[in-house]
Amino acid sequence: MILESENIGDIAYIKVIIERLDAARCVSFKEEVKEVISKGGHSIVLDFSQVKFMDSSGLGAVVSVLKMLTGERELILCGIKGMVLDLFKLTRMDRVFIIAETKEDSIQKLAH
Amino acid sequence: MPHSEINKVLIVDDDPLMLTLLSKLLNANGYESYVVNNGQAALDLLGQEDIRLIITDLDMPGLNGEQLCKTIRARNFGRYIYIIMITGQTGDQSLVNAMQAGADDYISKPLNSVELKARLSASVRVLELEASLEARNHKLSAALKEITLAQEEAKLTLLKVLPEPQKIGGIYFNWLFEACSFIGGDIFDYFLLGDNHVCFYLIDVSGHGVIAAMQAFTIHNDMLSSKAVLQSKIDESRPLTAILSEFVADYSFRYFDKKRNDSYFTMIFGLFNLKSGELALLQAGHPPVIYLEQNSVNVQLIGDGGLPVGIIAHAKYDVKSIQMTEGARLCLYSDGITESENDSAEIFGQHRLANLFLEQRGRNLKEVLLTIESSLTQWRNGSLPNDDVTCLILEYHGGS
Repeated sequence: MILESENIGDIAYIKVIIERLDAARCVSFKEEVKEVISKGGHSIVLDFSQVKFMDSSGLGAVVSVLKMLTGERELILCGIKGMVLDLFKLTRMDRVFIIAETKEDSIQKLAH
Repeated sequence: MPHSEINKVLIVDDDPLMLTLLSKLLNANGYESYVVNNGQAALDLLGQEDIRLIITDLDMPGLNGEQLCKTIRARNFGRYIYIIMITGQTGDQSLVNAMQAGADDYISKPLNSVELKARLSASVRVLELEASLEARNHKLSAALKEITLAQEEAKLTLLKVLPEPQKIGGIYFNWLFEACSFIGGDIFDYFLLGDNHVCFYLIDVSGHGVIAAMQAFTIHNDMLSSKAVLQSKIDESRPLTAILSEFVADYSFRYFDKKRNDSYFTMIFGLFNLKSGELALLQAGHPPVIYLEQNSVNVQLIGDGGLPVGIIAHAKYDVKSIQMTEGARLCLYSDGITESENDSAEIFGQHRLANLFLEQRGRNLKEVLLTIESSLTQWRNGSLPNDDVTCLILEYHGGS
């Protein structure tokens, strides 16, 4: 298990519950996300607050989530900090993704 | 009827009457029986014949049933041997001992032929399952061996395409490269463009393994074949930064268009005017480069990020312009260095690398690289890297 998910209204909230999202966990991460989003939810919130390290493969997996949604459903990332935030800034992913601070902020953002 | 592969049964009993009775029963049920009257003879026969099923008496002179079990389990016959123990009565402590010694099943005297047949069928099912697992294991280890060989081959090929340490115009290039066992996707190159320019790049393809290696080769070839294109773009009336930004944006679009998976790569690309010392530096999601002027006591980390190549189709790239002074050095590296972890999972980090680069400024490039290499090995406490380790250093010796 890499993810925990719940439905909050029309939002599929997904929390990543591993500390390292790296090459070894990417395939399972993509599969688990795919399964959750296939069950519906107009918008998706991906919470990384428990993730301390992400490598280039992990980042690739997060980008692939964006592609899974084919631009029709909204995706918000939250809980990005420390080394993961550094990686997002270095690769400008902080500009490619919509990013919120916390779960609550993400839900509020989607409500407007 | 037993399975054709597993129908040999060895019967071990010191009672000739039991041997005859059992072998008749087994033969009548399609098994091929072998009979011996002691434990030692049983071991000898197991060494010669591919027998996987034994019915043995518990009480025998010499090697008894329990000792025979222990010996079979301790010795490697290269196959699993299923042992059915014949006991005088149930509830016997010696039966418990026999099971603990490694017997798989037991049957008590007086023998009930229906029960024995059922137990034999069960043993064949277990052995067949074991055989199919073994076959699958064999296939898996063959596949793993093939993958490992392919990775080794890819690694060697990768090493062959890397450029020699050399001086091009007024720039000395030297490097350190250590591919991790499953290949991290690092590649780099440098070459002359026309008479006055040199370009260099360091790339880290996302992901690992043969796929990352193939991507790295493809990009390397693309870059070689784009040499003429880049050269033709160089025009003294246009800024180097604009030329580089356009070149990479074009390449990025083509790469995005033709790639088939989630892969992308990060890159540092430099385009350098040998005469003027002007360097156009593009950072596509790669860690910053370390710049050190000859007599400076400070290093500069240049670059605050940029989109990697292959994440979005129409990426735009900012290019920095740096005026390199004589004797200045530039250090490019992959995250295999900075993300290298010690025993307490602490990363090496870019500041540790930058400080090392600064401390070693009085030594030649080769020595600097060797120091970086040994510091990293020490940091990892001798363990092998889990990502490719690449460090490319260049030193400018002026335009004359």
